[in-house]
Parts: sequence; structure tokens; C-alpha cells
Amino acid sequence: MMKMTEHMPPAALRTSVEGLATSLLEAEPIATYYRARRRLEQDTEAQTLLAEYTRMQSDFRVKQVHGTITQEDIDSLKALDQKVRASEVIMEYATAQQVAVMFLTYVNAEISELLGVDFTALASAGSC
Amino acid sequence: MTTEHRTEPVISPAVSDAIREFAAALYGTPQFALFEEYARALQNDESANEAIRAYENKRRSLQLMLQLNAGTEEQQSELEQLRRAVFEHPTIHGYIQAQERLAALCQATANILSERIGLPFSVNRSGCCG
Repeated sequence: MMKMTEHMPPAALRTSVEGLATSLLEAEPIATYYRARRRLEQDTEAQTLLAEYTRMQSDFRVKQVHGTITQEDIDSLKALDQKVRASEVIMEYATAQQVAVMFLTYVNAEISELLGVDFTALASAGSC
Repeated sequence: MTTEHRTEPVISPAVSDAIREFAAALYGTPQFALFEEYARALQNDESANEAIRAYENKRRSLQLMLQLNAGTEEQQSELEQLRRAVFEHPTIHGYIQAQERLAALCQATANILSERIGLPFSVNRSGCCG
């Protein structure tokens, strides 16, 4: 059995991890994401709309599995989808999140290229 | 709700430097050195590669039967024997252990990064293991 300390990054690695975290937080895609998130957090109406949309999507999926979707369900979801798309705050947040995630994928790919191993696969192994 | 955003992200020089420092520090760990050592050993070990080939060939030839639960006990036991020969081979066993240790270290670093930036740092989008 491996000792727990074996999984702890050594000091030099830990320092470089902290350095990478700092530079990532200052990078434009992540900073933009946080700005958009703060804007969403300050907008109660947008938050309520997003929560309702998430709940309705989840209900829709359940009904899809059970084959009980009605035309009314489809129309309601479409109408709410349009409302969500019309919300600048929500769309800005969704786009910023997508860009931030894509940016992190690129960062992982750069690490993999430098090391000659699939860093992402190793770092996310066992998370299935 | 999906948004169509296809612009490739630009990695700034500051992030690029930090990535290089991180990769160099990870490369310098005993876990990485051991993994590389076993990866090389595995590449050059003919008996290990033969064991993998034998198991893979048998598994492929029996795949459909096993999926249909139609394989005989003898076939299943033969496959199990070949599987064991793979995992008990010292080079393969060492390689798997070295990979597990390196993965644990990579996971630990990715966890710290995720915690610091408040977003999941490493997400495998190519699907789950296996």
C-alpha cells in the first residue's frame, strides 16, 4: 500500500503549481469568467431564470426517458430557452464559462506536449 | 443551452512560462522518472509484449461470444490465464504501478489547481477509462 505522503507533490512541484494557479487566475479567459460569474450572482432575476431553466430541462429529460413528453412541455421549454437566450447576463456567463473550460483544455494539452504523456488522462484517471 | 464559441484561446507568455515551470517540476519528480524507466523497459521487453498480444488476440477472438455470455468455461479460463500472465509479468506490473503513482501525483496537482482557480482543471473529454 502506498503512503499518503507519496501523493503529496514535493515542495518544488508545489511551488510551480501555485505559480501556475496564480498566472491562470490572471489570464484573460479565467478573469472574464469570474467577472461574468459575479455579474450573474448580482442579478437575482437572471439567477431565478437560470434555476428554472435547469429544473425544466431536468424534468424534460425524465419525461423523455418515460416517454411522457407533451406538446405543452416542448412549448414551455422552447419559450424558456428563448428567455434564457435573451438574457445578456446569462449568455455572457455561459460563453465565458465555455471559453474558460476550452482555455484549460489547451493548458492541459500544452503540459501533455511538454511531458510527452497525456497529462489530462493521468490527472483525471479514476474519476469515471 | 449551448453557446457557439469557437475562438481558440490564446495562452499568454506568463501562462506559457508557468506551464513550462510546472512541466519541468513534474518531469523532475521520482514518480516521472520511474514511469519513464518502466515505459522504456516495457517497450523493449519482448516477453511482456508477447503476453499482451496473446491476451488481446484471444480477447478479440472471443469478444462476441463473451458478450453474449456464450463462451465455454474452458475459453473463459484460458482468457483469464492469459490476463493473469499479463498483469503478473514483472515489467508490466512495474509499469502499471509506476503509472498509478504518476497518475496519483498528477491528480494531486490537478486537485490543487482546481481548488485554486475554482474550476475543474483536468477533465478528460475523450470519455471514460478503458
